[in-house]
Amino acid sequence: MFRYLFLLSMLILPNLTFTPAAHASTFIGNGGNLLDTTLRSTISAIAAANERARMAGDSLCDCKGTSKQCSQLRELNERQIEFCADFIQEHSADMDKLLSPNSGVSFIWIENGITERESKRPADALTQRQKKKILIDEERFRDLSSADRIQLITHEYFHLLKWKGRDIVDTGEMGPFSGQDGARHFLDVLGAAYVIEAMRAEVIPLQSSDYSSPFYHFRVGLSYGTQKESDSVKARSFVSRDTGVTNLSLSYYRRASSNFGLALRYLNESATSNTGGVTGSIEREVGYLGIEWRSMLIGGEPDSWWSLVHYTVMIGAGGGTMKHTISDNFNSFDEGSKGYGGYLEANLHAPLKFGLFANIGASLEYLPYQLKTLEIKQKKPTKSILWGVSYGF
Amino acid sequence: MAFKFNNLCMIVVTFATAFTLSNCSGSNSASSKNTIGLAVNQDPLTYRFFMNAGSPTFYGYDTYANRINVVKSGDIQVQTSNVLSVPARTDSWFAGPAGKFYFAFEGRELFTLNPTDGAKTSIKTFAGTIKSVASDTDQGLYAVVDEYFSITLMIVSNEGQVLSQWTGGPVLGQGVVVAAGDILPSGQLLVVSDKATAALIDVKASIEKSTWTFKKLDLALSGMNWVAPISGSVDRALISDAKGIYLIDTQAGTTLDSVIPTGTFSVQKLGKPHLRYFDTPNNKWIFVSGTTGDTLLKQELPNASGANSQSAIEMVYLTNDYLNAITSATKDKQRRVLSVRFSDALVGFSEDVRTDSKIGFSDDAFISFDASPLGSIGITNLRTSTKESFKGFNRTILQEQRR
Repeated sequence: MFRYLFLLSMLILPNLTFTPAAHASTFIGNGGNLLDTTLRSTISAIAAANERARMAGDSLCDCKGTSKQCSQLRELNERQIEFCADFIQEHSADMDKLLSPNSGVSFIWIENGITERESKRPADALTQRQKKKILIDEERFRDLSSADRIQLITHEYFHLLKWKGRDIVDTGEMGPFSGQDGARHFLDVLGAAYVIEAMRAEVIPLQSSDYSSPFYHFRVGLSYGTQKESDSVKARSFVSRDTGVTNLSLSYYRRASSNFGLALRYLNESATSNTGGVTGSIEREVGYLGIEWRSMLIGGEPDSWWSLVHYTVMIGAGGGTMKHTISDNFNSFDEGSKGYGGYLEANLHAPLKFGLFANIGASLEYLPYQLKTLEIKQKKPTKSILWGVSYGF
Repeated sequence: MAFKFNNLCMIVVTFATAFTLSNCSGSNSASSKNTIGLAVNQDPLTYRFFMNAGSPTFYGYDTYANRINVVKSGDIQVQTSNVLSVPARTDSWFAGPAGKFYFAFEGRELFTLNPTDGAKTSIKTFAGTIKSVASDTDQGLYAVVDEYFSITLMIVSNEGQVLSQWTGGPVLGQGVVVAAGDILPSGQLLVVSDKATAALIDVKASIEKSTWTFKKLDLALSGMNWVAPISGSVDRALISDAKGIYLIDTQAGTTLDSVIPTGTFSVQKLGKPHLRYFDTPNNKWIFVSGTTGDTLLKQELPNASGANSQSAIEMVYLTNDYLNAITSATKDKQRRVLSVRFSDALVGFSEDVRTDSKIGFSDDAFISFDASPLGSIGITNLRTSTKESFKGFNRTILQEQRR
């Protein structure tokens, strides 16, 4: 049931959690972040865990498994478990409110690391209680497993709640969690408990996946495909088949979470065929420089294969050289030219492993040119279908 | 102006241990026995090579572009006709004068093709399949023969308009039944009968009167089966029978000279019409052709052993002073064009050619019409070895046709 609720929430959360106002405050400066979808999935998983925690009974804050979070819970004594379970039950309704779209909680991605002002300690996330803002180190968040992300964000959410009328902070004792870091320890335990409940609700996998992450700075790719030449160009070039395309791509995103990046494409387009004893060939080498937009496709269950599927759209301008040859056993005519134009390309990237992605896409190239001697004029955009692999790092 | 129709007959003559030419028999090959003029070739021949005012002119039906190419030595580029409205069968057309129109025939239908607009104009549909054609394009005279030996005489203008025509059967009267014939430079059609009679037909008068109008010649030769004109002579002709070749005075109706070989021989009209045979005792080849005088001309070449032995001859072409020939490709040798001077048997020209190129001779040149869709024609002077090449003339039209 929780799993279905979670999936349903994934469909509506983008509209509920991130209202236009919240969106504006969340995505400061760049108007969006590739990690947003992952964060939404994480929040949805926390909501599902919170829902389940209300009905968990004695199993809450207790665990017999071997996962990292489970190990943390296994170290608790009876009193701590009881305290933990009671705390969650007591704050479940408040947590629901925090997780609701109108809670006013917003998120800010931090690029260069977070340091706690008082303790000077580096942190993966930080909550500004007064402003109801949660600051997240995006590089750290990117590298965390889905379980760790739930634990981290749950920890921060509890900073926004109160206990016995007091703010919940990281320092000092908290119930049976004693010592200077007792509260921090307790918040981590709460996070771990939510992770376990999320696992029990089957909204996150028991094991982290090792699919390639889409949050890369660089992506290099090699694709092949076919380009649909115009009938006129094919006829006049004595080429009876579509052009084969080799596409070498390089994309760069300044931040691992950036949606926008720079893109470079090198295209080698060639076709040779023999028609009625005449061999025609087309050779083009073109380069394009442009910008690329990337985004997750649908989000989905954290760490699932679908949650890592993303797409890119590249638009650029450039130019290159082209050469057409028409020949038979006794003649050979060739003519070359230069041309400049624009390029639009969209790809869907499916995660493999070890940083690799399989991609399929399509492109539209507008590269007009004219060969006067051979009387060949390329004036229409050409469409291509591409498929290949890429490596993100 | 000499405008001589030189059909490129594909004779296959083989060298045995020596320079052994087989008889070029067959109804449609160079021997042209039992035909009026030249047989319509049954084997594909995509071109004709004319001597026009002493200069070789090439007419080729281009199967790739479906049009007729005209190349004259000295031209800068190939002249091409428009795309023809009907696919001209490659083995069934012959060019009219000056490239203004082209005769073509398919099966029983004779028509002209206009090179400007490619339009087809039907002239006549015969009762049978067209088998042979004699022509004097300078004078616009044509005789077309079908499989039933019906003979259609035509007078055609230089623009391709058939001015008048008449068709008669092979029985002329006075005991003359046509067995073979050809149009002479005098404009008369000389026909022979296998029963010792011949007739000199007045083409124009026959058309005007719609009946055979002729002068009977009693030549006292039996089994006559071949007639050939002699260039530049209005009152001489060559006739061959089963025994040999004869020089005839067509006005007097007398035999002026004869050569009767002891062995086998062959006759052909490719280049200078001639009879050839191998003189076994003297180990040499003899070529017998006509003259404007009262004697036949005998030219000879020693038996070429060594380099040419075991070779196969694809085609020979005789001129006054040279024998032009193509040797077929063999296991060890390329297909080769040769030209041998009669005066001293010097092989003055030798060049390998591709096996898929069609080769045609004129007196002093040969043309290579290559198997090139984009177009490739070469004209090579056999005396100076200079070559003119024409390339790629079909590219544009093929590009247009593919649209």
